[in-house]
Amino acid sequence: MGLYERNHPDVMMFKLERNLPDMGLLRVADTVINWGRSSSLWPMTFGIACCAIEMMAVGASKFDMDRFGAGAFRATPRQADLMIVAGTVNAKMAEVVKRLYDQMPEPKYVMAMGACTVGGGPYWKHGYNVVKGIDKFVPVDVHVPGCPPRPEAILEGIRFLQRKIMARRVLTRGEHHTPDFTGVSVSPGTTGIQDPQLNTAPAVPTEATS
Amino acid sequence: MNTQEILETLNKDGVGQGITLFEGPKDPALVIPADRLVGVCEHLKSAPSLQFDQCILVTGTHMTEIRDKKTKEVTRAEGIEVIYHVRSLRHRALVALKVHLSLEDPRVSSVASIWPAADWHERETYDMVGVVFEGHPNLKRILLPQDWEGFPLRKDYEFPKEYRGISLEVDPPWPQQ
Repeated sequence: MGLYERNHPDVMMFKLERNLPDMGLLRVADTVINWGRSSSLWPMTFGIACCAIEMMAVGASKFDMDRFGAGAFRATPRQADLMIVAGTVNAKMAEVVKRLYDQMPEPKYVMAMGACTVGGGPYWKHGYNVVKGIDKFVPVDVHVPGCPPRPEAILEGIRFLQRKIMARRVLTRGEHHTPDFTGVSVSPGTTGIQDPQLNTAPAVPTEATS
Repeated sequence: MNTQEILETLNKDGVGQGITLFEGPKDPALVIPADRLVGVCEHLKSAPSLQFDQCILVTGTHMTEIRDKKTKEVTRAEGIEVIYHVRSLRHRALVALKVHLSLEDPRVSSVASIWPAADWHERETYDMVGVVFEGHPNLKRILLPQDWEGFPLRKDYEFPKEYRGISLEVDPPWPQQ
């Protein structure tokens, strides 16, 4: 198991849950982690069409996205948490947007900004090369409609996304989860990373061994 | 210098064979046979009395068939029309040239060697309407991806369902008309 797998959030979460069965503490940790994540959403410097002008207006001093901790536009997907897709995505551009999304580190969030990215917009019927909504190829966290949206709408989208992040569970798995980890592998439902060491130690004796 | 005078000048210079004057509802144009386009364009650029040295626009149109309402005769056959707008800065004149091509095999000589500005315009015309410009230095699609199928501005173009695994369809689908 390499360094990456050892430090992967799923593996760390598993170890935390095994060593800290007190779920109340983990819920407090959840709140702190979510607060940190939602208060420092770094968007990617990335605009496709006219919606990007409004996005720049939100970043500027009059509307000031930095009030919500989301004003640090990063010029690389490797340092960004939030991808604001601002503008019409056509078939040629969709691959690039998909690649940018794949290059972002977890946790990552996507805002579909404007009518084009929500559902095709004015190109809904006659846009032969326009992807009718970016949720065809990337998961979208918040849709902000408008053509283009007002800056207040984008701020509302940021606030909505922050509320969504605050409601997430990071360390705790579920409401009625009992910490019984004997022979349980890490759930592949979130990222699919499997911990081989944790998988190869069944505490419950099977019929073959008994 | 209007289009009628330009045609008279071309006739006087001896290059006006087969060129007709198209008097549309708004703008007149010169309809040139496809095989004589390059010669006429070279004369338009080089003749001192004309000096059309700036190419404004090259575009193409899919012209549908038009029938007479009473006699049902075909008054305009279906085909592709390539339109050139060229300007003479010296004589302050603008002229439109038209070339009629068949829909099955739209081919015309390139004028990119005469006006370099026509290079990308002809690529766009090839991209959208599918006109093949013979002698063009780099005739490939300029806006759409190279592996795109079909020419979108033709009347019989069918929208693609997907491109490289990304769906281009609407969910819910379009209402049937």
